[in-house]
Amino acid sequence: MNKVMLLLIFFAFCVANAGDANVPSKFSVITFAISKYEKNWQDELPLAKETANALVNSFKNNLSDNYPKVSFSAKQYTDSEVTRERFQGTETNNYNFVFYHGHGGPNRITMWNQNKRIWHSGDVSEKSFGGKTYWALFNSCRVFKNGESNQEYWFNGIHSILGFSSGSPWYKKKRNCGILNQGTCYYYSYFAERDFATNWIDGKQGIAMAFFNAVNKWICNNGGYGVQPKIVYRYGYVDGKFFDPWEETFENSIQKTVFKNPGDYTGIGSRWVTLGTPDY
Amino acid sequence: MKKKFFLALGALLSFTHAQLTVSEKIYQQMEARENPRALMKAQKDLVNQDPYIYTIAGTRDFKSGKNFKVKKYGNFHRFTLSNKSKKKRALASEKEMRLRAMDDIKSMLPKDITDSCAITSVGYEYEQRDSSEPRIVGSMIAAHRILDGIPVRGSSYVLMSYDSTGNLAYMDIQWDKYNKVHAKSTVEIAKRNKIHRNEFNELVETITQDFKENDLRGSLDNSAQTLTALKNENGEVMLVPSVTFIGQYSSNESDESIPMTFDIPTDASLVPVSKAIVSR
Repeated sequence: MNKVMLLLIFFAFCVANAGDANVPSKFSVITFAISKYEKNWQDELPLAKETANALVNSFKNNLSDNYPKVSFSAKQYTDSEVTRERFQGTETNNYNFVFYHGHGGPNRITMWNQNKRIWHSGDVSEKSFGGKTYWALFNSCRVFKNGESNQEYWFNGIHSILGFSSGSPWYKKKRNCGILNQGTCYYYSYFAERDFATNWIDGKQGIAMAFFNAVNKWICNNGGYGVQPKIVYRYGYVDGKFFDPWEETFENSIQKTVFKNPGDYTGIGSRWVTLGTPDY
Repeated sequence: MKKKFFLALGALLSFTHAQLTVSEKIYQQMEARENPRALMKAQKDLVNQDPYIYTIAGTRDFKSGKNFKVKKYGNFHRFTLSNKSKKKRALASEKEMRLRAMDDIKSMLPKDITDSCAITSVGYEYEQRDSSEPRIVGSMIAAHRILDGIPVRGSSYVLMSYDSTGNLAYMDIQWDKYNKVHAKSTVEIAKRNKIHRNEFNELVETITQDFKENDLRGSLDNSAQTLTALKNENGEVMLVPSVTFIGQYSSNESDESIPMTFDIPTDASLVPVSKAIVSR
Protein backbone atom coordinates (compact mmCIF):
# COMPACT_ATOMS: atom_id res chain seq x y z
CA MET A 1 0.00 0.00 0.00
CA ASN A 2 2.77 2.38 1.01
CA LYS A 3 4.63 1.54 -2.20
CA VAL A 4 1.55 2.33 -4.31
CA MET A 5 1.09 5.60 -2.45
CA LEU A 6 4.71 6.59 -2.98
CA LEU A 7 4.43 5.80 -6.69
CA LEU A 8 1.28 7.93 -6.93
CA ILE A 9 2.97 10.83 -5.15
CA PHE A 10 5.99 10.51 -7.45
CA PHE A 11 3.73 10.46 -10.53
CA ALA A 12 1.80 13.51 -9.32
CA PHE A 13 5.07 15.35 -8.67
CA CYS A 14 6.30 14.58 -12.22
CA VAL A 15 3.07 15.79 -13.81
CA ALA A 16 3.03 18.98 -11.74
CA ASN A 17 6.54 19.87 -12.81
CA ALA A 18 6.46 18.68 -16.40
CA GLY A 19 5.31 22.03 -17.83
CA ASP A 20 8.14 23.99 -16.28
CA ALA A 21 10.83 21.35 -16.69
CA ASN A 22 13.14 23.43 -18.88
CA VAL A 23 12.17 26.93 -17.86
CA PRO A 24 15.27 28.84 -16.71
CA SER A 25 15.37 29.71 -13.01
CA LYS A 26 16.78 33.18 -13.79
CA PHE A 27 16.42 35.60 -16.66
CA SER A 28 18.27 38.88 -17.03
CA VAL A 29 18.27 41.63 -19.63
CA ILE A 30 20.59 44.57 -20.30
CA THR A 31 19.49 47.44 -22.53
CA PHE A 32 21.43 50.16 -24.36
CA ALA A 33 19.24 52.93 -25.78
CA ILE A 34 20.39 56.17 -27.38
CA SER A 35 17.92 58.99 -27.93
CA LYS A 36 20.30 61.94 -28.24
CA TYR A 37 23.87 61.50 -29.44
CA GLU A 38 26.90 63.48 -28.36
CA LYS A 39 26.86 66.83 -30.23
CA ASN A 40 23.96 65.41 -32.27
CA TRP A 41 26.37 63.47 -34.47
CA GLN A 42 23.45 61.16 -35.32
CA ASP A 43 19.74 62.02 -35.68
CA GLU A 44 17.64 61.91 -32.55
CA LEU A 45 15.65 58.73 -31.81
CA PRO A 46 12.98 60.14 -29.49
CA LEU A 47 11.46 56.80 -28.50
CA ALA A 48 14.67 54.89 -27.70
CA LYS A 49 14.24 54.91 -23.92
CA GLU A 50 10.53 54.13 -24.09
CA THR A 51 11.30 51.26 -26.46
CA ALA A 52 13.84 49.74 -24.04
CA ASN A 53 11.37 50.23 -21.18
CA ALA A 54 8.62 48.53 -23.18
CA LEU A 55 10.80 45.45 -23.68
CA VAL A 56 11.96 45.26 -20.04
CA ASN A 57 8.45 45.77 -18.65
CA SER A 58 6.99 43.19 -21.01
CA PHE A 59 9.65 40.62 -20.03
CA LYS A 60 8.95 41.34 -16.36
CA ASN A 61 5.15 41.16 -16.67
CA ASN A 62 5.12 38.05 -18.83
CA LEU A 63 7.51 36.24 -16.49
CA SER A 64 5.53 37.13 -13.38
CA ASP A 65 2.27 36.08 -15.10
CA ASN A 66 3.58 32.80 -16.52
CA TYR A 67 6.62 31.78 -14.49
CA PRO A 68 6.49 33.59 -11.14
CA LYS A 69 9.36 31.52 -9.79
CA VAL A 70 11.78 32.83 -12.41
CA SER A 71 14.02 35.48 -10.92
CA PHE A 72 14.19 38.53 -13.19
CA SER A 73 16.76 41.31 -13.25
CA ALA A 74 17.42 44.20 -15.62
CA LYS A 75 20.10 46.81 -16.15
CA GLN A 76 19.43 49.82 -18.38
CA TYR A 77 21.85 52.31 -19.91
CA THR A 78 20.80 55.37 -21.88
CA ASP A 79 22.42 58.12 -23.97
CA SER A 80 25.88 59.11 -22.61
CA GLU A 81 26.05 55.86 -20.62
CA VAL A 82 26.10 53.91 -23.90
CA THR A 83 29.80 54.14 -24.54
CA ARG A 84 31.92 52.01 -26.78
CA GLU A 85 33.97 50.88 -23.77
CA ARG A 86 30.90 49.78 -21.83
CA PHE A 87 29.29 47.98 -24.77
CA GLN A 88 32.54 46.27 -25.75
CA GLY A 89 33.36 45.33 -22.18
CA THR A 90 32.52 42.14 -20.35
CA GLU A 91 29.43 43.47 -18.51
CA THR A 92 27.07 42.20 -21.22
CA ASN A 93 28.37 38.69 -20.49
CA ASN A 94 26.43 38.74 -17.21
CA TYR A 95 23.04 39.14 -18.89
CA ASN A 96 20.99 36.62 -20.87
CA PHE A 97 19.44 39.10 -23.28
CA VAL A 98 21.16 42.17 -24.75
CA PHE A 99 19.03 44.91 -26.33
CA TYR A 100 20.48 47.77 -28.34
CA HIS A 101 18.46 50.65 -29.82
CA GLY A 102 20.33 53.25 -31.83
CA HIS A 103 21.52 53.93 -35.36
CA GLY A 104 23.31 51.31 -37.40
CA GLY A 105 24.35 50.08 -40.82
CA PRO A 106 25.66 46.84 -42.34
CA ASN A 107 27.96 45.19 -39.75
CA ARG A 108 27.96 48.19 -37.42
CA ILE A 109 26.09 50.00 -34.67
CA THR A 110 26.74 53.49 -33.35
CA MET A 111 27.67 54.48 -29.82
CA TRP A 112 26.78 57.74 -28.04
CA ASN A 113 30.28 59.23 -28.31
CA GLN A 114 30.92 61.21 -31.48
CA ASN A 115 32.11 59.06 -34.38
CA LYS A 116 32.34 55.94 -32.21
CA ARG A 117 30.96 52.74 -33.58
CA ILE A 118 31.17 49.03 -33.00
CA TRP A 119 32.28 48.15 -36.50
CA HIS A 120 33.18 44.78 -37.93
CA SER A 121 35.36 45.10 -40.98
CA GLY A 122 38.05 42.98 -42.50
CA ASP A 123 39.17 40.44 -39.94
CA VAL A 124 38.57 42.70 -36.96
CA SER A 125 35.76 41.72 -34.60
CA GLU A 126 34.99 44.59 -32.24
CA LYS A 127 32.32 42.82 -30.19
CA SER A 128 31.07 39.30 -29.82
CA PHE A 129 28.53 37.96 -27.36
CA GLY A 130 29.19 35.08 -24.96
CA GLY A 131 29.31 34.43 -21.22
CA LYS A 132 25.69 34.23 -20.06
CA THR A 133 24.37 36.05 -23.13
CA TYR A 134 22.19 33.71 -25.17
CA TRP A 135 20.15 36.23 -27.20
CA ALA A 136 20.43 39.79 -28.51
CA LEU A 137 18.16 42.21 -30.36
CA PHE A 138 19.45 45.15 -32.36
CA ASN A 139 16.68 47.65 -33.07
CA SER A 140 18.87 49.34 -35.62
CA CYS A 141 18.92 49.83 -39.39
CA ARG A 142 20.40 47.25 -41.78
CA VAL A 143 22.95 45.64 -39.41
CA PHE A 144 22.18 42.27 -41.04
CA LYS A 145 21.53 43.57 -44.53
CA ASN A 146 21.02 40.74 -47.01
CA GLY A 147 24.12 40.19 -49.11
CA GLU A 148 26.28 42.66 -47.18
CA SER A 149 26.51 41.59 -43.57
CA ASN A 150 28.95 39.16 -42.03
CA GLN A 151 27.11 37.86 -39.02
CA GLU A 152 29.93 35.63 -37.83
CA TYR A 153 31.72 38.42 -35.95
CA TRP A 154 29.00 38.74 -33.35
CA PHE A 155 29.08 35.10 -32.21
CA ASN A 156 31.01 33.76 -29.24
CA GLY A 157 28.49 31.37 -27.77
CA ILE A 158 25.29 33.43 -28.19
CA HIS A 159 22.43 31.37 -29.66
CA SER A 160 20.82 33.91 -32.00
CA ILE A 161 20.62 37.63 -32.74
CA LEU A 162 17.49 39.47 -33.89
CA GLY A 163 17.69 42.55 -36.08
CA PHE A 164 16.85 43.94 -39.49
CA SER A 165 17.98 43.48 -43.06
CA SER A 166 16.11 46.69 -43.87
CA GLY A 167 15.80 49.98 -42.08
CA SER A 168 14.22 49.88 -38.63
CA PRO A 169 11.95 52.91 -38.51
CA TRP A 170 10.38 54.20 -35.32
CA TYR A 171 7.12 56.04 -35.22
CA LYS A 172 5.24 58.18 -32.80
CA LYS A 173 2.36 59.22 -34.94
CA LYS A 174 1.14 62.47 -33.58
CA ARG A 175 -1.21 64.74 -35.42
CA ASN A 176 -3.73 67.42 -34.72
CA CYS A 177 -7.31 66.22 -34.43
CA GLY A 178 -10.59 66.89 -32.68
CA ILE A 179 -12.35 70.21 -32.19
CA LEU A 180 -10.88 72.77 -34.60
CA ASN A 181 -7.98 70.38 -35.05
CA GLN A 182 -6.57 71.50 -31.68
CA GLY A 183 -6.35 68.08 -29.97
CA THR A 184 -3.57 65.52 -30.26
CA CYS A 185 -3.78 61.95 -31.51
CA TYR A 186 -0.85 59.50 -31.47
CA TYR A 187 0.40 55.91 -31.55
CA TYR A 188 3.81 54.25 -31.17
CA SER A 189 6.27 51.76 -32.71
CA TYR A 190 7.51 50.23 -29.44
CA PHE A 191 4.47 47.96 -29.24
CA ALA A 192 6.65 45.63 -31.35
CA GLU A 193 9.14 45.12 -28.49
CA ARG A 194 6.29 44.66 -26.03
CA ASP A 195 4.59 42.02 -28.16
CA PHE A 196 7.83 40.20 -28.97
CA ALA A 197 8.31 39.37 -25.27
CA THR A 198 4.64 38.36 -24.96
CA ASN A 199 4.83 36.09 -28.03
CA TRP A 200 8.04 34.44 -26.84
CA ILE A 201 7.17 33.91 -23.16
CA ASP A 202 3.38 33.83 -22.91
CA GLY A 203 2.69 32.71 -26.49
CA LYS A 204 5.45 30.07 -26.34
CA GLN A 205 6.45 30.86 -29.92
CA GLY A 206 9.94 30.24 -31.28
CA ILE A 207 12.15 33.31 -30.97
CA ALA A 208 12.14 34.12 -34.72
CA MET A 209 8.37 33.73 -35.08
CA ALA A 210 7.80 35.81 -31.93
CA PHE A 211 9.89 38.64 -33.37
CA PHE A 212 8.60 38.50 -36.96
CA ASN A 213 4.99 38.49 -35.80
CA ALA A 214 5.45 41.45 -33.46
CA VAL A 215 7.37 43.55 -35.99
CA ASN A 216 5.05 42.86 -38.87
CA LYS A 217 1.99 43.59 -36.80
CA TRP A 218 3.10 46.95 -35.47
CA ILE A 219 5.62 48.32 -37.93
CA CYS A 220 4.28 47.09 -41.25
CA ASN A 221 0.61 47.53 -40.45
CA ASN A 222 0.88 50.89 -38.79
CA GLY A 223 4.18 52.46 -39.39
CA GLY A 224 4.98 53.77 -42.86
CA TYR A 225 8.17 52.16 -44.10
CA GLY A 226 7.97 48.41 -44.49
CA VAL A 227 10.70 46.37 -42.83
CA GLN A 228 12.40 43.01 -43.11
CA PRO A 229 12.99 41.61 -39.63
CA LYS A 230 15.78 39.02 -39.54
CA ILE A 231 17.39 36.45 -37.24
CA VAL A 232 20.99 35.23 -37.58
CA TYR A 233 22.47 32.18 -35.88
CA ARG A 234 24.88 29.27 -35.95
CA TYR A 235 23.35 25.80 -36.05
CA GLY A 236 24.49 22.27 -35.30
CA TYR A 237 24.40 19.64 -32.55
CA VAL A 238 24.21 20.32 -28.81
CA ASP A 239 24.71 17.28 -26.57
CA GLY A 240 24.02 15.04 -29.55
CA LYS A 241 20.74 16.72 -30.48
CA PHE A 242 20.28 19.00 -33.52
CA PHE A 243 19.69 22.60 -32.45
CA ASP A 244 18.30 25.25 -34.81
CA PRO A 245 18.27 28.44 -32.69
CA TRP A 246 15.62 30.29 -34.73
CA GLU A 247 12.94 27.99 -33.26
CA GLU A 248 14.16 28.18 -29.64
CA THR A 249 11.29 28.84 -27.22
CA PHE A 250 11.79 30.56 -23.89
CA GLU A 251 10.44 27.68 -21.86
CA ASN A 252 12.66 25.10 -23.55
CA SER A 253 15.72 27.28 -23.98
CA ILE A 254 19.24 25.96 -23.59
CA GLN A 255 20.87 27.56 -20.58
CA LYS A 256 24.44 27.65 -21.75
CA THR A 257 26.47 29.12 -24.58
CA VAL A 258 26.65 27.05 -27.76
CA PHE A 259 28.70 26.75 -30.96
CA LYS A 260 31.53 28.86 -29.56
CA ASN A 261 34.45 27.54 -31.51
CA PRO A 262 34.99 26.53 -35.17
CA GLY A 263 34.14 22.84 -35.38
CA ASP A 264 31.46 23.14 -32.64
CA TYR A 265 28.78 23.89 -35.20
CA THR A 266 27.59 22.71 -38.60
CA GLY A 267 27.01 26.07 -40.27
CA ILE A 268 25.51 29.54 -40.17
CA GLY A 269 21.94 30.44 -40.97
CA SER A 270 19.57 33.37 -41.21
CA ARG A 271 15.84 33.93 -41.72
CA TRP A 272 13.87 37.02 -42.65
CA VAL A 273 10.37 37.91 -43.77
CA THR A 274 8.76 40.28 -46.21
CA LEU A 275 5.13 41.33 -45.91
CA GLY A 276 4.28 42.19 -49.50
CA THR A 277 2.75 45.33 -50.96
CA PRO A 278 -0.61 46.25 -49.39
CA ASP A 279 -3.57 46.10 -51.74
CA TYR A 280 -6.71 47.99 -50.72
CA MET B 1 -7.31 74.67 -65.32
CA LYS B 2 -7.08 73.44 -61.74
CA LYS B 3 -6.43 69.90 -62.96
CA LYS B 4 -3.60 71.06 -65.20
CA PHE B 5 -2.09 73.00 -62.33
CA PHE B 6 -2.00 69.98 -60.04
CA LEU B 7 -0.66 67.70 -62.78
CA ALA B 8 2.08 70.24 -63.42
CA LEU B 9 2.74 70.48 -59.68
CA GLY B 10 2.92 66.69 -59.51
CA ALA B 11 5.38 66.57 -62.37
CA LEU B 12 7.45 69.31 -60.75
CA LEU B 13 7.54 67.52 -57.40
CA SER B 14 8.51 64.29 -59.15
CA PHE B 15 11.37 66.12 -60.81
CA THR B 16 12.60 68.04 -57.78
CA HIS B 17 12.55 64.98 -55.52
CA ALA B 18 14.71 62.78 -57.68
CA GLN B 19 15.14 60.13 -54.99
CA LEU B 20 11.39 59.95 -54.39
CA THR B 21 9.06 59.79 -57.36
CA VAL B 22 5.41 60.66 -56.79
CA SER B 23 3.26 59.19 -59.53
CA GLU B 24 0.87 61.39 -61.49
CA LYS B 25 -1.90 58.97 -60.50
CA ILE B 26 -1.69 60.11 -56.88
CA TYR B 27 -2.33 63.74 -57.80
CA GLN B 28 -5.22 62.70 -60.05
CA GLN B 29 -6.73 60.66 -57.19
CA MET B 30 -6.26 63.58 -54.80
CA GLU B 31 -8.01 65.98 -57.14
CA ALA B 32 -10.88 63.56 -57.70
CA ARG B 33 -11.44 63.25 -53.96
CA GLU B 34 -11.50 67.03 -53.60
CA ASN B 35 -13.82 67.40 -56.56
CA PRO B 36 -16.60 64.76 -56.30
CA ARG B 37 -17.96 65.73 -59.74
CA ALA B 38 -15.12 63.76 -61.24
CA LEU B 39 -15.97 60.63 -59.28
CA MET B 40 -18.03 57.64 -60.37
CA LYS B 41 -21.55 57.55 -58.87
CA ALA B 42 -20.72 54.94 -56.21
CA GLN B 43 -17.72 56.89 -55.05
CA LYS B 44 -19.75 60.11 -55.12
CA ASP B 45 -22.37 58.55 -52.84
CA LEU B 46 -19.59 57.71 -50.41
CA VAL B 47 -18.30 61.27 -50.40
CA ASN B 48 -21.77 62.75 -50.05
CA GLN B 49 -22.68 60.69 -46.98
CA ASP B 50 -23.06 62.52 -43.69
CA PRO B 51 -19.71 62.47 -41.92
CA TYR B 52 -19.24 59.84 -39.24
CA ILE B 53 -16.51 58.26 -37.21
CA TYR B 54 -16.24 54.94 -35.43
CA THR B 55 -15.43 54.68 -31.75
CA ILE B 56 -14.30 51.45 -30.14
CA ALA B 57 -16.82 49.83 -27.82
CA GLY B 58 -14.66 46.83 -26.89
CA THR B 59 -12.92 43.87 -28.47
CA ARG B 60 -14.68 40.85 -29.81
CA ASP B 61 -14.08 37.55 -28.02
CA PHE B 62 -13.55 34.21 -29.72
CA LYS B 63 -13.90 30.68 -28.40
CA SER B 64 -12.20 27.43 -29.40
CA GLY B 65 -14.02 25.36 -32.00
CA LYS B 66 -14.15 21.75 -33.07
CA ASN B 67 -10.96 21.94 -35.09
CA PHE B 68 -9.11 24.85 -33.58
CA LYS B 69 -7.98 26.31 -30.27
CA VAL B 70 -8.13 29.97 -29.33
CA LYS B 71 -6.07 31.80 -26.70
CA LYS B 72 -6.35 35.47 -25.82
CA TYR B 73 -3.24 37.65 -25.54
CA GLY B 74 -3.91 41.26 -24.57
CA ASN B 75 -6.07 42.72 -27.34
CA PHE B 76 -5.78 39.88 -29.82
CA HIS B 77 -6.68 36.18 -30.07
CA ARG B 78 -4.38 33.48 -31.43
CA PHE B 79 -5.98 30.59 -33.36
CA THR B 80 -4.11 27.30 -33.82
CA LEU B 81 -5.39 24.14 -35.48
CA SER B 82 -6.09 21.22 -33.12
CA ASN B 83 -4.88 18.67 -35.64
CA LYS B 84 -2.45 20.13 -38.07
CA SER B 85 -2.51 18.52 -41.49
CA LYS B 86 0.44 16.26 -42.19
CA LYS B 87 -0.03 16.79 -45.88
CA LYS B 88 2.69 19.01 -47.27
CA ARG B 89 1.55 21.80 -49.56
CA ALA B 90 3.70 24.01 -51.71
CA LEU B 91 4.18 27.60 -50.63
CA ALA B 92 2.54 28.91 -53.75
CA SER B 93 2.21 32.13 -55.69
CA GLU B 94 0.72 35.23 -54.11
CA LYS B 95 -2.58 34.64 -55.89
CA GLU B 96 -2.86 31.06 -54.61
CA MET B 97 -1.79 32.00 -51.07
CA ARG B 98 -4.54 34.63 -50.99
CA LEU B 99 -7.12 31.94 -51.77
CA ARG B 100 -5.64 29.53 -49.22
CA ALA B 101 -5.67 32.19 -46.51
CA MET B 102 -9.27 33.15 -47.25
CA ASP B 103 -10.31 29.47 -47.06
CA ASP B 104 -8.64 29.17 -43.64
CA ILE B 105 -10.30 32.37 -42.44
CA LYS B 106 -13.70 31.01 -43.53
CA SER B 107 -13.09 27.69 -41.76
CA MET B 108 -12.45 29.33 -38.39
CA LEU B 109 -14.16 32.72 -38.17
CA PRO B 110 -17.88 33.61 -38.07
CA LYS B 111 -19.56 34.57 -41.34
CA ASP B 112 -20.10 38.22 -40.44
CA ILE B 113 -16.32 38.55 -40.10
CA THR B 114 -15.42 36.60 -43.23
CA ASP B 115 -17.90 38.75 -45.17
CA SER B 116 -16.21 41.93 -44.03
CA CYS B 117 -12.53 41.22 -44.45
CA ALA B 118 -10.12 41.08 -47.38
CA ILE B 119 -6.51 40.01 -47.84
CA THR B 120 -4.18 43.01 -47.59
CA SER B 121 -0.82 41.52 -48.49
CA VAL B 122 1.11 38.29 -48.95
CA GLY B 123 4.70 38.10 -47.75
CA TYR B 124 7.21 35.28 -47.60
CA GLU B 125 9.70 33.97 -45.06
CA TYR B 126 13.18 33.19 -46.40
CA GLU B 127 15.95 31.00 -45.04
CA GLN B 128 19.58 31.05 -46.04
CA ARG B 129 22.04 28.43 -44.84
CA ASP B 130 25.76 28.96 -45.31
CA SER B 131 26.46 30.13 -48.86
CA SER B 132 23.40 28.57 -50.48
CA GLU B 133 20.75 30.70 -52.21
CA PRO B 134 17.84 31.89 -50.02
CA ARG B 135 14.75 29.68 -50.20
CA ILE B 136 11.15 30.32 -49.23
CA VAL B 137 10.22 28.52 -46.00
CA GLY B 138 7.02 30.25 -44.99
CA SER B 139 4.45 32.89 -45.73
CA MET B 140 2.97 35.72 -43.67
CA ILE B 141 -0.41 37.01 -44.81
CA ALA B 142 -2.29 40.04 -43.52
CA ALA B 143 -6.01 40.75 -43.88
CA HIS B 144 -7.92 43.93 -43.10
CA ARG B 145 -11.46 44.75 -42.10
CA ILE B 146 -13.94 46.52 -44.35
CA LEU B 147 -16.51 48.91 -42.84
CA ASP B 148 -19.16 50.41 -45.11
CA GLY B 149 -17.03 49.44 -48.08
CA ILE B 150 -13.90 51.17 -46.75
CA PRO B 151 -10.76 49.28 -45.66
CA VAL B 152 -9.69 49.75 -42.03
CA ARG B 153 -6.00 50.26 -41.19
CA GLY B 154 -4.83 49.27 -37.71
CA SER B 155 -7.08 48.43 -34.77
CA SER B 156 -8.80 45.45 -36.49
CA TYR B 157 -6.66 42.97 -38.43
CA VAL B 158 -5.90 39.30 -39.15
CA LEU B 159 -2.28 38.09 -39.41
CA MET B 160 -1.63 34.53 -40.60
CA SER B 161 1.59 32.54 -40.65
CA TYR B 162 2.19 29.51 -42.87
CA ASP B 163 5.17 27.27 -42.12
CA SER B 164 7.43 25.28 -44.43
CA THR B 165 4.76 22.56 -44.84
CA GLY B 166 2.49 25.16 -46.42
CA ASN B 167 -0.04 24.74 -43.60
CA LEU B 168 -1.31 27.38 -41.20
CA ALA B 169 0.95 27.70 -38.15
CA TYR B 170 -1.25 30.25 -36.37
CA MET B 171 -3.68 33.08 -37.01
CA ASP B 172 -3.86 36.24 -34.89
CA ILE B 173 -6.97 38.36 -34.96
CA GLN B 174 -8.03 41.58 -33.32
CA TRP B 175 -11.59 42.49 -34.17
CA ASP B 176 -12.89 45.52 -32.37
CA LYS B 177 -16.53 46.31 -31.69
CA TYR B 178 -17.28 49.69 -33.24
CA ASN B 179 -19.98 52.26 -32.63
CA LYS B 180 -20.79 54.24 -35.76
CA VAL B 181 -21.34 57.80 -34.64
CA HIS B 182 -22.52 60.86 -36.55
CA ALA B 183 -19.78 63.42 -36.53
CA LYS B 184 -19.39 67.06 -37.29
CA SER B 185 -16.43 68.57 -38.97
CA THR B 186 -15.03 71.51 -37.08
CA VAL B 187 -12.94 72.78 -39.97
CA GLU B 188 -14.52 74.05 -43.22
CA ILE B 189 -14.06 71.92 -46.35
CA ALA B 190 -11.70 74.22 -48.26
CA LYS B 191 -9.43 74.41 -45.24
CA ARG B 192 -9.60 70.62 -44.76
CA ASN B 193 -8.43 70.04 -48.33
CA LYS B 194 -5.65 72.55 -47.81
CA ILE B 195 -4.56 70.84 -44.56
CA HIS B 196 -4.55 67.49 -46.35
CA ARG B 197 -2.48 68.86 -49.26
CA ASN B 198 -0.04 70.48 -46.85
CA GLU B 199 0.34 67.29 -44.84
CA PHE B 200 0.97 65.36 -48.04
CA ASN B 201 3.60 67.85 -49.20
CA GLU B 202 5.26 67.67 -45.77
CA LEU B 203 5.23 63.89 -46.04
CA VAL B 204 6.94 64.04 -49.44
CA GLU B 205 9.57 66.43 -48.05
CA THR B 206 10.18 64.20 -45.01
CA ILE B 207 10.54 61.03 -47.08
CA THR B 208 12.83 62.78 -49.56
CA GLN B 209 15.08 64.03 -46.77
CA ASP B 210 15.12 60.60 -45.18
CA PHE B 211 16.01 58.99 -48.51
CA LYS B 212 18.90 61.42 -49.00
CA GLU B 213 20.27 60.77 -45.52
CA ASN B 214 20.01 57.00 -45.86
CA ASP B 215 20.94 56.56 -49.50
CA LEU B 216 17.52 55.25 -50.49
CA ARG B 217 15.27 55.69 -53.50
CA GLY B 218 11.64 54.88 -54.10
CA SER B 219 8.22 55.97 -55.24
CA LEU B 220 4.69 56.65 -54.06
CA ASP B 221 2.55 54.86 -56.63
CA ASN B 222 -1.04 54.66 -55.47
CA SER B 223 -3.51 55.86 -52.85
CA ALA B 224 -6.72 54.50 -51.37
CA GLN B 225 -9.55 55.78 -49.22
CA THR B 226 -9.30 54.10 -45.80
CA LEU B 227 -10.27 54.43 -42.16
CA THR B 228 -7.32 54.78 -39.80
CA ALA B 229 -7.17 54.49 -36.04
CA LEU B 230 -6.17 57.49 -33.97
CA LYS B 231 -5.73 57.54 -30.21
CA ASN B 232 -6.32 60.82 -28.42
CA GLU B 233 -4.86 62.12 -25.17
CA ASN B 234 -7.67 60.48 -23.20
CA GLY B 235 -6.66 57.09 -24.61
CA GLU B 236 -9.80 56.89 -26.77
CA VAL B 237 -9.31 55.23 -30.15
CA MET B 238 -11.43 56.32 -33.10
CA LEU B 239 -11.46 55.53 -36.78
CA VAL B 240 -11.39 58.57 -39.03
CA PRO B 241 -11.56 58.81 -42.84
CA SER B 242 -8.08 58.88 -44.31
CA VAL B 243 -6.06 58.40 -47.45
CA THR B 244 -3.40 55.69 -47.41
CA PHE B 245 -0.47 56.34 -49.75
CA ILE B 246 1.25 53.18 -50.98
CA GLY B 247 4.72 52.92 -52.48
CA GLN B 248 8.02 51.10 -52.34
CA TYR B 249 11.67 51.89 -51.59
CA SER B 250 15.08 50.30 -51.91
CA SER B 251 18.67 51.19 -51.21
CA ASN B 252 20.76 52.63 -54.02
CA GLU B 253 22.96 49.54 -54.19
CA SER B 254 20.12 47.00 -54.11
CA ASP B 255 17.11 46.17 -56.24
CA GLU B 256 15.27 44.60 -53.31
CA SER B 257 12.09 46.62 -52.96
CA ILE B 258 10.26 47.09 -49.65
CA PRO B 259 6.70 48.45 -49.38
CA MET B 260 5.86 51.67 -47.58
CA THR B 261 2.47 53.05 -46.56
CA PHE B 262 1.52 56.37 -45.01
CA ASP B 263 -1.85 57.47 -43.69
CA ILE B 264 -3.10 61.03 -43.72
CA PRO B 265 -6.62 61.71 -42.35
CA THR B 266 -8.85 63.64 -44.72
CA ASP B 267 -10.59 65.21 -41.75
CA ALA B 268 -9.08 64.63 -38.31
CA SER B 269 -11.20 67.47 -36.90
CA LEU B 270 -14.36 65.33 -36.84
CA VAL B 271 -15.99 65.16 -33.42
CA PRO B 272 -18.95 62.94 -32.46
CA VAL B 273 -22.32 64.71 -32.25
CA SER B 274 -24.70 61.86 -31.41
CA LYS B 275 -24.96 58.52 -29.70
CA ALA B 276 -24.09 55.40 -31.69
CA ILE B 277 -26.36 54.91 -34.69
CA VAL B 278 -25.17 51.33 -35.19
CA SER B 279 -22.77 48.96 -33.42
CA ARG B 280 -20.69 46.26 -35.09
